[in-house]
Amino acid sequence: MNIWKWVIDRHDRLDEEGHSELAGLIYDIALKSDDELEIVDQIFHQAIPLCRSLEDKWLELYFRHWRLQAYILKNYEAKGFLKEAISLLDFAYTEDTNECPQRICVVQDLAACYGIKDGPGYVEERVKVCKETLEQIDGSWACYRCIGSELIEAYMDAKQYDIATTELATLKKELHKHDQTDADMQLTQAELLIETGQIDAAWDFIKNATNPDGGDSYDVSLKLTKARILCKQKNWNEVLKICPSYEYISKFAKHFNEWTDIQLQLVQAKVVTNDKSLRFRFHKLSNDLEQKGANRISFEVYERLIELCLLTKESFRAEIALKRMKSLCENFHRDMGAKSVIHQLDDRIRAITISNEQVNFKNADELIAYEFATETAEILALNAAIEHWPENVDLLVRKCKLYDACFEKEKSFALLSKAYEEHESSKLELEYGSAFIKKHGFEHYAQVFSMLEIEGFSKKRIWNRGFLHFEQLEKTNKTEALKVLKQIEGYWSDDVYLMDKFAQTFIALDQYKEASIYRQKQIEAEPDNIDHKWDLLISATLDDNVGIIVKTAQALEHSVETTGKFHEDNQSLIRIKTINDEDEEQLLIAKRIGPVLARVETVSHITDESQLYGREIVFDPRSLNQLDQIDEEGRACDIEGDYTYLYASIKILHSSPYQTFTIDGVHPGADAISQLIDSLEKSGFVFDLRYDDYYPLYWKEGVDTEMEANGIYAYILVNPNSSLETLNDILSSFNETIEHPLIWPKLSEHLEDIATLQKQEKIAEKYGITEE
Amino acid sequence: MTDNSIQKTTVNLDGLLEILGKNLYSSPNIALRELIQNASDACERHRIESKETRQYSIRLKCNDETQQLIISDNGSGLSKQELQEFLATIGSGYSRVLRNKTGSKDIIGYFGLGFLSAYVVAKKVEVVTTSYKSPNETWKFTSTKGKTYSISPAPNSQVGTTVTLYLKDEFISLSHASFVDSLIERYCCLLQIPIFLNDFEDPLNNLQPPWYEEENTPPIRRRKLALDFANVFEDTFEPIVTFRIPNNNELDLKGVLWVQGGSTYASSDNRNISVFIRNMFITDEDKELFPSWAGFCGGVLETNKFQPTASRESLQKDDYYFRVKSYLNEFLASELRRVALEEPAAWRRILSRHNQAMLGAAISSDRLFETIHKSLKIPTTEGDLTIPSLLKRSENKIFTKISSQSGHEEILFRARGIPLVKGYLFASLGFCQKYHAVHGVPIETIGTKSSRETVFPSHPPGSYEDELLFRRLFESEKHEVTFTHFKPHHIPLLVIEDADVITKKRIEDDEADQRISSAALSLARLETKQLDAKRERIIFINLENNLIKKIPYLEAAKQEKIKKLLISLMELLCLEPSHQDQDLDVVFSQFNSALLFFIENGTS
Repeated sequence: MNIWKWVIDRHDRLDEEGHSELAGLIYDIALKSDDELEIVDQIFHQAIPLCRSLEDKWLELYFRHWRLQAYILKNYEAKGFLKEAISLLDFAYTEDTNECPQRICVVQDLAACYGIKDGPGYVEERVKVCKETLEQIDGSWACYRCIGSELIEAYMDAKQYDIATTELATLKKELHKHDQTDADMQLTQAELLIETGQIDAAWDFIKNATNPDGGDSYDVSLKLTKARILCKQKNWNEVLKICPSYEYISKFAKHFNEWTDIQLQLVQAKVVTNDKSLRFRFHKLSNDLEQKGANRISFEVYERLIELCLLTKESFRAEIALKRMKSLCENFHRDMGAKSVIHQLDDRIRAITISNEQVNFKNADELIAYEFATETAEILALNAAIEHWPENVDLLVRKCKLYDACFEKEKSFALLSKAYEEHESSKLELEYGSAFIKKHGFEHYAQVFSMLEIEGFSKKRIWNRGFLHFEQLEKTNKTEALKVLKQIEGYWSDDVYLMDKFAQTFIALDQYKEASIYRQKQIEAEPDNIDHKWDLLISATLDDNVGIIVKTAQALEHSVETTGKFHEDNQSLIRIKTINDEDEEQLLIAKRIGPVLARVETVSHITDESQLYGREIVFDPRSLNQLDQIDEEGRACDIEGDYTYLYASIKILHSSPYQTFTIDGVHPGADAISQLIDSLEKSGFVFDLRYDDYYPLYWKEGVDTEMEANGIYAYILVNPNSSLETLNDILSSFNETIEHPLIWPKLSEHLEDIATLQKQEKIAEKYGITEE
Repeated sequence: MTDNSIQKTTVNLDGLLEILGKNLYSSPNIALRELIQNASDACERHRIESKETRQYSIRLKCNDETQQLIISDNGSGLSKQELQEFLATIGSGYSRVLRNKTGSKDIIGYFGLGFLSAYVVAKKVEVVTTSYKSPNETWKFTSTKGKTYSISPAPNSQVGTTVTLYLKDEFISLSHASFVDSLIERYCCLLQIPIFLNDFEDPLNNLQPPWYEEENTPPIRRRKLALDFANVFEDTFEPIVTFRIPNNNELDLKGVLWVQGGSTYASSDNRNISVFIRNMFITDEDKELFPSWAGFCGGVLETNKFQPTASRESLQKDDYYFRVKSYLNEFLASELRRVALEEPAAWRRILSRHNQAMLGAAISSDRLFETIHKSLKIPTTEGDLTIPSLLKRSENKIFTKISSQSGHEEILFRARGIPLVKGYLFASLGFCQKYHAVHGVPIETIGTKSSRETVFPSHPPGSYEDELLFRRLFESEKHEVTFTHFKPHHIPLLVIEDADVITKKRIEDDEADQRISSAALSLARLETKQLDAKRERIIFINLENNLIKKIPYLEAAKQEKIKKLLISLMELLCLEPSHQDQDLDVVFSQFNSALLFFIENGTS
């Protein structure tokens, strides 16, 4: 059975039928499943709705299987994906899918899930499933190798190496019978040889192994297998050379087990230093495996971590690891000697005699700055210090962080909670409050840590609680955020940072007068800080407070007129970056008419909901670019070659927007257009040519005469004070003077001038003018 | 008896040439590249050994009538002894000898196999050469099929070499000027020695790589040149922004990378990368040099450090290869990051074309994510939104849906105007999950148990009697009741399927034994048996809803009617997707007031 045939056929058919997006994803998911989990997920979420829209259950099965492969086999995500594996099994054996060759692979997904959850514990069940499945297929199936490997691994988990060897030989024979490669089984065979003590044979077997389809993941597995053989041969230098780094293997859970095994041997051979960092890494890997539900492997990595701890008399971390092992033991399907391992380790940890690191700390700060060699030394010192300086919360916080570093988040949180109850402390207010928000969310926090219950708190504590509230509320409810600031202000009225937060919040609430008051307070507090003056200009401009604008601009040595704006001669072109209604960044050309005020010169596209031309924008005067480059002609420009400063928009002022209308038709010639522009401008209309150069129009004169001429398409912007009728009159009069009439359907529609509109429709039809 | 004396093996050159020609090179056109490379190496050899400066050039003549291709250079030329040593002995090239001796970076050849390619395409090869060491002696080397050769004196000509290929019929295209022109453009465009074809005055390879520009070139001009250069290599999507690899980097790598001006789909992999070694094109197949998230990028790389394979059509995956791969990953991320920070116009251009692909890129690169996460737009049920806008509208939480189909839970979000991230579109879910991981903002996928706990907080009715009443009314073999309260209050209840229970029922049903093999089924049942819940649908009753509040005060017959109305409405909404395009908020409001009226007026 060529399992890929239907996939390839389906791919080609999808391509032919115009579903090239889904077709492309078919190969992508299989190619990325080895090493690129994030991309697998992206492809999966994109592909499934497409499969469902085509009601293609085989393909849905295919995509779901490959995602499981990536998550289960490569990343050991047993906990999160067992339900999906079961659901997929159900899906794979229905009337619609039971002819799909991929259904067989789903059984492997499920078996592998149990293998990862508790390999030795589920040996019996896994063997049964694999054998049952192998009986349904032969060596010509690609999944014969996968199920076969699963079977061998099950026997190896049970340490039944003889049976594994026999079964492997049978599997390979079957594969060869069907001219299939057994490259996927190379590593399994090498592992089997290692486990049966045939080290040299294992090396000979694996030294030149390659699997061109294996990806990076195969290369890492190969290196780890080679490193394990070299460990057995005590060839430590070569092990160091070949063993992949922690940074690399930490991305793929399937490598954690072998890597920790190799590292422990390197430590025992005194080739690698058994330091805090290495123990933390082991702890991180075992904790990650535990979170993924890879219980048995996590158990084994914890065991190795304890071995590292025992070598350095690190009882603190060892006890934590042992606790986790006991908890994992509860989840095993079958014990398989786990309890006995725990008992032995327990005894060995108890037997550790700890020689306390003899450091005499004069004060708590000295201890906090000290770098301990082990966590045990640190916890002992901390406990002693806490007894000595019970009121020192820095010590308590440090102790919590130590538990955090040992993945004891609950313990850390409980300690913080207890310390918070027992001590009045601003630091704990912040630390415990932050931890509480992270754990329970802000809503719960706000109930427990109300701003109404701060009486008797120290100033600093009020600040910390207040800002924990403020930082959350300012994202969702500015009015409530302001109330919090006011409560803080009762205790910190002269704080410049608080004033800044007030001003920002008032601006967000469109209360500009109040914002200006706080900006002025900032200036009083820090008169030399010119940023405060610019900030005041922003709030004053938003408030249209000319007096403050003039005074502040003068203080900044900017000359403005009594209107608070620059003289026309001093108005320069700038660019403004703003966010439009579509949540997209827009860059607008504008005239800087005041210190922080600009008028837009860019004519927006007619399809844009609001015409920004002529609108005034208050902007942040701290430019986003620097004109620090020189162009070929020696002019100053920014890195993108722009000659103007770019500023971020703060607010587009609510002036009435211009309306935009279009004219379209055969170009009446430059002189005629020039006259039209004159008449329009005299009446206060803005003419904006959109295109004429590359706008050919074709029409017929008489029966057969083909005509061609350049067209013109332009916007006419009308400010709210101008009359649309006047515009209509100007255009109508102009039309009488030219050979080929122009059209302005949008204006006619607006004026409900049906007769003109109908006339223009005919003109549009004649000249082949299509609506934009 | 055994013969222990050492014997020379015999080589079947015909067969060897055929094998090499077919297997070593993917296309016999490579012969042209190899011979030009030899010519280039000869010029470089001359420059190094003669210490003389001259205007080097390579001239090609194509004659399709005589089926000839002639390649001439004014490089070092070969002496009689060198002809025998390097041309007549396959696999023995002078280039490697010279490069090892001098360390010159401009000598290209490696394997001494280059000249062999001439025999693949030509029935007869003629070489006329004058060595700079003996400028008065000119030699003519002639070989048919490479099996035999002759070397004879020839009329004296200027120092250099002319190779004449008498092409085999199947390679006659190499005598067509337009075809040769296209090959030169592909393989030799970066070669620094000018190549002239026939009588054209302008060289074919006049492309100036940006990395050879003077350091003081104004940045704006540099940018334009880089864009023009990138355009030459990007056939499908015109480049919009370029990134030049800084000179003097630790990998001795030169190059220009770019962002393409278009794409097929967000998930499409259009990575386009051309690799040159010592200015000679090697491959455009090694797209894995770019990170997989960079499906919208192109690039040209040039270095003398890549190790080509023997055919020089691909790269060896050695340590250097992986170092370049890692460097390019970092470089692309940091350049995109820089553009996002410093070049708003360019960044807008990138976003307008690759927003969704950039979501994927940001997932893969932490540094990129950190810089660009605020400006990328995520597809939601309320349109494409940036993260700040999304959070503003969804009360600082992220809600996602992973199916394009609508369910009851979605109704609630639409009624509230809360956007749901379309997690089924490329990278949107992963991006939100990353945002959650980095910024701690809660994320919920609707339809999951955990999201239900957030959206429908448990809220028991005021009295035990009420609870019993609602359970009696709404609970059934399939339906379980959960009391809650949610906004908007005018939605009385929602019905949601429990996927886990549905799977459990199917797996544990006897019917499953007929279709799933027993061992696999037993394994699955080990897990499903641990699930206690039994009912497939959960009815979330909104105790804040006025209608629900009134139910306990109605007579039994009306209670039953109201229940049927409510359930049928929910079924209708679930089964009739076309209704969901209407403004549901209004529908519910109207429905609610109508029913209230019906209750208050007591009509049946």
